[in-house]
Amino acid sequence: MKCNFVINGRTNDPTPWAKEALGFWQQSQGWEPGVSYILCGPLTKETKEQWLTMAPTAQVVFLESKTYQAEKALEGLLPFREEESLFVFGSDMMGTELSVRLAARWKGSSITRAQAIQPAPEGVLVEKMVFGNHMRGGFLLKKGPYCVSLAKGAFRGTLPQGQAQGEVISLEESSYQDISLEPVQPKEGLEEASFVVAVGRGAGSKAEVEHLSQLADQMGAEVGVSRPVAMNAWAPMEKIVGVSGAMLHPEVCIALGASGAAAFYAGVEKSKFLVAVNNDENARIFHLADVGIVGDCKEVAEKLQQRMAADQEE
Amino acid sequence: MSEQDWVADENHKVDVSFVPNQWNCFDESALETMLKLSDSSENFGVVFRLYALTLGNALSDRYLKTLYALGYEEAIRIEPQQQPYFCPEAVATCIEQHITNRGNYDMILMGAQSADEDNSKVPLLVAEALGWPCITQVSELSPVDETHIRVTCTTDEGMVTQTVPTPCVCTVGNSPNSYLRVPTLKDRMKLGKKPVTVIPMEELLPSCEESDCQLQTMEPVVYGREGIIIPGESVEEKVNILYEDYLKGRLKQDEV
Repeated sequence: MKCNFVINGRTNDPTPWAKEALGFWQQSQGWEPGVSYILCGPLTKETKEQWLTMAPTAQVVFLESKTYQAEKALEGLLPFREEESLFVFGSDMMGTELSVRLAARWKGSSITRAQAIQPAPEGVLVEKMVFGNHMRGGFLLKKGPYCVSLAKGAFRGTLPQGQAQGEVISLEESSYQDISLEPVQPKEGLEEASFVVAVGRGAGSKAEVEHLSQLADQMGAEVGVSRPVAMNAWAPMEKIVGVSGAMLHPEVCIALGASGAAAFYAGVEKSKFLVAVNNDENARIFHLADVGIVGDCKEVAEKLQQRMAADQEE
Repeated sequence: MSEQDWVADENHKVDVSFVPNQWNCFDESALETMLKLSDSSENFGVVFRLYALTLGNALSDRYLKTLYALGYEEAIRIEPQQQPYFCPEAVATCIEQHITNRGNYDMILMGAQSADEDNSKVPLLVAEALGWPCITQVSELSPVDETHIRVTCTTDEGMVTQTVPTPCVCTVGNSPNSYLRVPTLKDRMKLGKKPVTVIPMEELLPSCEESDCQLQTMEPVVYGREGIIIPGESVEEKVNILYEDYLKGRLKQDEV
């Protein structure tokens, strides 16, 4: 079965999305290479060349527009329907939305956040996490075209030095009015960090989260937070770690005041070494971590920062 | 639920019926966002009449009555004989049919996904079935006029604010500071007794077709590491052990 890609090329740094698509391609078997459809802003010669070296397939179609509107992107992709083909979308917001809506327009089938995809005689088999990451479900997509978006952090490939052929198609501009764009702080700093402090609701207050963030900064760690912390507006949403945020893979992650909810744990699961600090000795996080300290997360963080600072002075 | 409770039966169903219900966090944000829109509409000469729609059994009525107390004009519950399980297409068809039958909605605001099934498909399928534009990851709405709404949403590129024509579908995902307000006891007593409008699901969807994305297996995921609890009389002692025995080498190695 042919495998096509729909990739988000509209972010400042497209490399993570290219690596994700490549990760799927490099880890999967049984697919024939198809076309990479890259949704992008106005292309420069450099960005076009960059994409042509990192696209997962030898054939690339750029769908270019200054402004983005999902409806216009869908209209641009509609003519590329192929009955018995897989279309892989990224784990970003654009990929999740377009996979479902395009399958609906193509009268195919769709699924979001796939952890594994393989061809089957009756269609396409997909595995994904459900029930807040407590269960893994296996699904059969029965109607082509098969539109599947990837799960965050499930696929990470290495960039090839290939040279694809590309054509450029202009999309219609957004029909919405008075559009303003405020670029957000990219999450890649957190997702690429080798040392992360992840703060949970146990911190107790916005002031405490800020204090812990300062300590983490002094320790040379990037800061992430659990979803409830961001929901309480104790930290920006782009700092969320877990299913709905960043998926980490640092050398060391210290979880401060996090209970260990499955949705949060999914974000720190790939840490090479995971430390848990919680004042509840029965907290689930202790069973999920390599080592743990039962104690107040503020006190532990302060002592650890002092210990690390003293070590640096020596 | 404890680790042991996460099991599926022979039909791949996970029994969560003994777990107390709570608001879905995305729905909760959506409901509060709509109330904020209604609050801010007074200065724009636009009147928002709010309707709440859910699909589920009578256990949901407690939540719907809270919405009456908060100012929602009508609470509607689509009642299935059997709760759809991993059938987002069926749920979307029911909602689309209801919207089409009523014919007077200008905007639909929905939570992006359920915590259990995590399909993330229903609002998108509703938008496609209705042929309405869809804005995802909405965090703020403000009135413009009778046929437009100002929408702020998070995208992969950044925070986008734009004026969108109605009718449209909006979805709410991660949205900061958006817990649902609590009604006063007075409003709960005064407004919370209004009956919920119940629509049998069969009226909207006579037969539930098998999903094109068919659930075939359901397995619990086992997580776990060594879980060594660092001993010590004081926090200082524990931190010293943590740093010397476990972190120092790893962090130094990382610096190299």
